[in-house]
Amino acid sequence: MDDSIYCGTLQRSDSRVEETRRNHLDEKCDSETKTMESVIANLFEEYYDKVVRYIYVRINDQPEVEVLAGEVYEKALISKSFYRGSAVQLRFWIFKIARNLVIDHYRKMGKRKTVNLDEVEISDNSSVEELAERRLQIGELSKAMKQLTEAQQEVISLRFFAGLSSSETAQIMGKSSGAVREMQCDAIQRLRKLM
Amino acid sequence: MKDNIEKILDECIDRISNGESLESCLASYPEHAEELRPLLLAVRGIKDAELPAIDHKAKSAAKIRLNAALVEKRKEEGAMKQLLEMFTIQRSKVYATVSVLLIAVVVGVSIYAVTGEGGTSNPIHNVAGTAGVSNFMSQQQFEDYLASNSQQTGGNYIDRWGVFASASEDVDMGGALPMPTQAPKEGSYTSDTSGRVSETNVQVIGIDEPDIVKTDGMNIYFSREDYYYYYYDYTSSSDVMPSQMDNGVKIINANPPVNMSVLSKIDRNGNLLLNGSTLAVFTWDGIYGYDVSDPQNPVSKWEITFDSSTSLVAARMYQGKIYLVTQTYIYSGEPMPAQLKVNSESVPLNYYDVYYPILPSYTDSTLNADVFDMQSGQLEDTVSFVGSSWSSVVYMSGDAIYIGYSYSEDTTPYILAFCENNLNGVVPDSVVAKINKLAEYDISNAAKMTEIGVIFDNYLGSLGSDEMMQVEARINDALQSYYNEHMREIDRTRIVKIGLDGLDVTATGSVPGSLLNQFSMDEYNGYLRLATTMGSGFGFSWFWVSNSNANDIYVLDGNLSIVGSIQGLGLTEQIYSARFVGDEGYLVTYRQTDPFYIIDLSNPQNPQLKGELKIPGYSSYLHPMSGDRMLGIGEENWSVKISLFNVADPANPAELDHYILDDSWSDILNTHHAFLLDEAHEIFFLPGSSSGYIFSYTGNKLELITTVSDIQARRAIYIDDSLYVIGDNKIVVLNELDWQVVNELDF
Repeated sequence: MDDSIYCGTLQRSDSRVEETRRNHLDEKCDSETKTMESVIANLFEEYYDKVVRYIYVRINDQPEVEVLAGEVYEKALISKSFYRGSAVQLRFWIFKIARNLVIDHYRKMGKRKTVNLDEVEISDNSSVEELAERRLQIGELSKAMKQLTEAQQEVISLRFFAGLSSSETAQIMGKSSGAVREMQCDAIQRLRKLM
Repeated sequence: MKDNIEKILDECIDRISNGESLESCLASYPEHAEELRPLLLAVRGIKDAELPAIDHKAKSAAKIRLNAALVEKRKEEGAMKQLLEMFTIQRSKVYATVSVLLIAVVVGVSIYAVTGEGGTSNPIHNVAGTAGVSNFMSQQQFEDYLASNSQQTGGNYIDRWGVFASASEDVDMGGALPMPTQAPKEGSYTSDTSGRVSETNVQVIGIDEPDIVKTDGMNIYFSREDYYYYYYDYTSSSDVMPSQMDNGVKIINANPPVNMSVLSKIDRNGNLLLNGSTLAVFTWDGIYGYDVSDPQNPVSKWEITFDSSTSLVAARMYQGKIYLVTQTYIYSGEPMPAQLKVNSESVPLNYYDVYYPILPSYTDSTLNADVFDMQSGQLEDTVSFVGSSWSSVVYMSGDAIYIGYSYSEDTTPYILAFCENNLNGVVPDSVVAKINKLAEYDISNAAKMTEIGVIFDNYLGSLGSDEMMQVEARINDALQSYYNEHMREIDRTRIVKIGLDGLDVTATGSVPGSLLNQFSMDEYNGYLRLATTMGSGFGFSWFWVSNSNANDIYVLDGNLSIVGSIQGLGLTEQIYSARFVGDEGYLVTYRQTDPFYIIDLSNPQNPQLKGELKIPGYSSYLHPMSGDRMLGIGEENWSVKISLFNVADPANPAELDHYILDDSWSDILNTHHAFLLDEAHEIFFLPGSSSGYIFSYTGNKLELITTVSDIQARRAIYIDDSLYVIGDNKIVVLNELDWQVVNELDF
């Protein structure tokens, strides 16, 4: 993965025509990996951690989060639009799907699920001090986040944990950029007081 | 003021995210520093909040599931060999111990489990002809329908395998031709500022299709295509990719060619439609309308955007209206038909406009048709129906939009029938008896499939390995002959007809097999003619058979009931191209050679195979030409091949000439839009993998007249007697009278 350009094709391959096309594209791209598999695999490596963290902030239930994170990619696979995208768009789609799954999750749950912070799974390579500190931070943030409106929580998680721009966040939420900036500002002011 | 702070804060968040320090942000806005500092401290606090470490076991499991899903996807896309290989791997796993990998495979696949057809006690039923539709009264009813329709679904991944098919429509796939069906032409969208102007090569004359190039005879509108691959630069943290640097629609002053220049650029990318002075750009997330009456200053006019689960299936332009077909993936928690936004306003939903088949069927999305006014972007009418996202193919005539999509009958009743009737002597009676008993239980079909799997696993697991292999081979043989007999019941395409007048579902029907692309459908004198391929495969537990392709022609009446058919053309071969022209149908199937069939459709009740020609290679695009000729563009031995057929005598089609190009690719294999015919000069254009080729067919001889190199050729157009070869970064204009270069424009 060190040098330069990665080249992928996402087209379907159901016949000799597709095979010819792939050969053609292979000739045009000199790097070695060009299949749908590798594109998705790279998206997975690139964003899986971010997706987990994004969903975690919204759901706070690690096993469920990991199931959903996996599902994001599986959903991405069957979405036609997904394959038309450039890398920026693909990232956008990944989080759009993640966001829908989070909404889906809440609807299924019927209500917000809270998690007992003592039960949060702890990775075994952290020191006790780190654990104490991290637990505190997650605790604070997640408690504080619950004081925000649903939309504000979404803005914060998309902006800070999915790493989307405010205009991308606006697009995903179906709001104007101005509205997103306003919610973001209000949310931060609120969080500042709560933290 | 408040607005200002919000903007500054937003900018600072981005800067801090990109590694800048809090202080340097504050330094940029000294007048706001006091107000900003506490907010930015909070931002840093939020960003630094340490989230849980990623559980690597969960991550690997997700990766395995994803890989399994990828394999599944490949399989659905018709890569038969790969399917069989994967199958073998799965089998060896199950007879070993139940490994983590296997569980992952099953789980991964079951996510896609299909909503089976209902009716547990229902024997095999063959929904031929018209199936009724009804419409919803409310959101509640819509949700209830989806819920009850999915009751049969369990973790039954086998069901999924019944659904894949070998055809799909891309927006940029399709095709068309001058002579065949012609829609009545009223609204003219070609300006008459010059004498002769080419139009995009479409299926039905007068019904335009979006493409990367449009012209009005004065200007060329060109959007560079970069769908096929994208670059990700691992060396830079930036998300800006090389291929995106120079995106956008270029508006080029093209007439007269000596004054060619880029007038302006629209900062969006995608296929285009042009109507008068309105240009529509089809991007990945919506359609954007521009007023281009001043080509130097295109002005944004309207926008139609899709919600996150909606994507474009196809679009057409007819008489100043855009007809849009989209599909909306149904998320279980939030079932909704398409939510379009026009100029950022959500279009209100009316469930009366959402139809569903009365017979329950595989459902994972709604398919939606909308009509918009091209000038204003206003939504004029909309209709949706519950369907499947697999393999949607869209064809539009002057009267109706036809949407065909593959679905599979629930395979459970077939498998039960197979076990009951076809396994006598192959497996012990006790196994058959167990399955027959299972058939009577009042449990879901999905559960029955799981149980059948267990019965076979137990039985086969009890055998020695030699005997097991023999039994497996016998079961496979029996399954193969059963499938050959029943594949027309199992592989199905549902056709939904949406009348343009009132935009309503006016009929639905169903035919065996799946459609290749839009050219597989054609309406003529009130009849819809279809060419389908079946044989995508069938199986249960660890048994799978496929590869017994057959191709059929069906003629349907206005109610989409089958009135005539020819079955079993090109056995073991697949359709590579189809074209219907008036009373004739032309079909190319392929495996090793290219049988080119001519079908007489003059009597819709009794279509007849008239003639057949076998030549090497295949044609994946057929273009009817004057003088009873047909041009085929395809491939032979990995080189682009062009064939010119004489079809004057349907009983004796003949190849007049062929040409094998020293090039391995032409975009015509991908989209008919890349083809240009200029009958006045008896020439046609095709793009190669980089050059553009111009052929003459004068005197039925295919002759390469000239090659335009170093251009990354995409399309060509003509205005008067000038041929414009349009490449990614360049336009070269040739004089069609002497083929000299008149002008070039780099951009």
